[in-house]
Amino acid sequence: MERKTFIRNSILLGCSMVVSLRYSLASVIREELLRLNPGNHFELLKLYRIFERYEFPLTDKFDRGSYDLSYQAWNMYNSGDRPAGSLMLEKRTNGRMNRFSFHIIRNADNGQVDKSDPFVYDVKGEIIASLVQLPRLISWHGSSMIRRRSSDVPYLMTNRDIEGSVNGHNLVLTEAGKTKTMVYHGNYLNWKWGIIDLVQLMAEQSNNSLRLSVLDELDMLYQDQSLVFRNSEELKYGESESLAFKVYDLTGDGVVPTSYWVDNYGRVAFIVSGMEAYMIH
Amino acid sequence: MKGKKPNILIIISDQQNIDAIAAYKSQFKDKAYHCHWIKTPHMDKLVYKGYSFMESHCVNPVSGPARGSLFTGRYSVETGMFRNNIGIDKLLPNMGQWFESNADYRRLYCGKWHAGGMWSYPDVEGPRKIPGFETIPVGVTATGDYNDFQVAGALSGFIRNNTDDKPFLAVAGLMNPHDICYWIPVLWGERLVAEDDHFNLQDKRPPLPPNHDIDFEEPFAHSKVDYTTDQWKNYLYDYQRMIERLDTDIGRLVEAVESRKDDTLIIVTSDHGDGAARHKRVQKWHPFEQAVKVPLIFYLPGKVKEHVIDDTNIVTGLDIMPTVCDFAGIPSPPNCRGNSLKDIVEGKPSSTKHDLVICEILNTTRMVRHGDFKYVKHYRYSGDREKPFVRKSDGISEKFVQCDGRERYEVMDKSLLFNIKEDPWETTNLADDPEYSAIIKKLDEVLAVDYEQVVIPGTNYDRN
Repeated sequence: MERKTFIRNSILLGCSMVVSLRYSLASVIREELLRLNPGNHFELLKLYRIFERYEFPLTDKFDRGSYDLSYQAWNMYNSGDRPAGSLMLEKRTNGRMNRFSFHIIRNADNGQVDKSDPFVYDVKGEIIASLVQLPRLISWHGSSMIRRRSSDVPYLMTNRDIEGSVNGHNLVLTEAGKTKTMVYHGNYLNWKWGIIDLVQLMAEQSNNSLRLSVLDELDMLYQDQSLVFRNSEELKYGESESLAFKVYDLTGDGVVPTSYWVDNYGRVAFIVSGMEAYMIH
Repeated sequence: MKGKKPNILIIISDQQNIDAIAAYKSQFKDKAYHCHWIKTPHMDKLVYKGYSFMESHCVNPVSGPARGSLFTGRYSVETGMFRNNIGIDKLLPNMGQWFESNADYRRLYCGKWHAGGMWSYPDVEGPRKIPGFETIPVGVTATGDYNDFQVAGALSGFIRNNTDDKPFLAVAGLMNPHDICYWIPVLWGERLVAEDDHFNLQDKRPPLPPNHDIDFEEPFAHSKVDYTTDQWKNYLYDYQRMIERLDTDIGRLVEAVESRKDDTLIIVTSDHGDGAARHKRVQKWHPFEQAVKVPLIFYLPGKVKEHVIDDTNIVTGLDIMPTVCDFAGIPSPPNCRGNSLKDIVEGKPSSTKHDLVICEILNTTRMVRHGDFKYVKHYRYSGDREKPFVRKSDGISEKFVQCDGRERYEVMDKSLLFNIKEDPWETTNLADDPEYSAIIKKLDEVLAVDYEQVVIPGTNYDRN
């Protein structure tokens, strides 16, 4: 066999092995998670239907202090069709301060008609948190709007711009020149997408439970939620590979019970709640 | 601002029980009611500073028909929407169209519509745009946990940013707590509720209601589910968390309104209720209190009376169309079946009596609530048509075949009669008790005079 042909075939074979490994891994994840919890497929059923179109992203390492995480948002109403949106989360650490940037895109078009420039609901912003024992909210700013995918112009004046800061137990929020103050009652405050980082920290520290108040979508407050470690799951595949998950449950005010699955790289790999699932991508 | 008619914001939730507002604990004292298990600070504020109706009913306890009636002021047999996925008779103007022709208001719709064809969420253009309204699009996943914060966020942005001199009529169609429908395996196949106390919630889960095991021999019993106790408790717990999410999204809209300098009337209601484990029911499609009673709150500081909990006037979704017309200073559409509530909520003497509502459930059941009594009649369809509608070839909408005398509805002998004041959980059917035969006779007359002789059946049901 000629050298060029040999090299080409080797490359093709290697690529197909990677593809088939990922494809078979997705199948294994599906089957194994169902096998591990045969009596309670309520939560796993959501993941099961999505796994048919999903590739689990393997990695060499994960730096919990500074990372880029990307998720696909799936909605069970139309699972198997296309993701309903995406979540990008970036964390950078500067001494004792953490800066989280986030960007959420949700499909806002009807989806029934093929449109060349559909609508999306776009939410983005930045959170500053200090790190003492747990990340603590200091300030935030964010914006949201309905827009066409190709445009930065808000549709029908749907844009919002919000800034906020925390002073003791007071959250002071400013929007369109108006200020409101919210007071959280517990000992710890986090924010909706900051729970990803929090769960990763809890998994690393083997912290089993935490009560918290939560800033929801940058402008509202839930007073009494709980994050509790539920169990560990191990998933074997191939000859000697395995993926281990730690599962944390979020319950309480305003939250349909939500599960965070932390993989053995230390990343939140899946978030499963109600009719939604976020899958690391 | 002087001289300017008030803005109007109608917030419609989906499948919200009337007792799913924490501020109603004094009205619903039994600890099995939702109000004892939820925190709803934003709806509570509307209750404390607004006018609530405790005897508020939907017109038809299922989504499309209820919304079709709410947005026209006409019964389901008149709109043609006696079930989901048909669409309002195009001869009847919806609220947006009526305001377009008669009032100088900007009209916007955001969220769930479901009063046209098989689709729930409107497009900004094309056949799925709602006539009479501009649309703020939010997608089509038809679940509250995906759509509602988009509805609240996007519409609250408009409300804050809009500086037009013209008042607006805006509708927020929030989906929660309808997501609970997907917890039901019988109706939705594989989507299951957890079989045990999966999240170790223990006593955070509510008790089952006292009428959970009460059943009646009904000819068209819908939405009965055979759950274990744990599954019922999980169902109720999750439903109550959805109510809290709904409250947060309502709060976003209310705060946006309060950021404005002009007047905005806020109306909060729902299309129908949820079975909530009462009579072992989930969902809707039945005539019991949990399905037909819905919240109805009016809020306009300085105009609408504050902190009134009205448990005297018996009202219905048909009353919303004439009420918003009254606030806008325009007449109601012709043959509007409801009555304006404006004088009542403003604390003025009302020229109309509100002691009677009639509900339609599919094309086979009618319910009358008059005074303390609720009466339910079932009809058997015995016509020689295979079914009273045909599906169009495009599969999108259905066309109701006009009556031509071959349709026959015969009264079945499975009536229900409850004294709602003495028996709010509907545990005892009085229909076969001779002591109540005079009441049944009277309610039959009410049904004949105030409904059967009044309604004008629609003729053209193939419009979105």
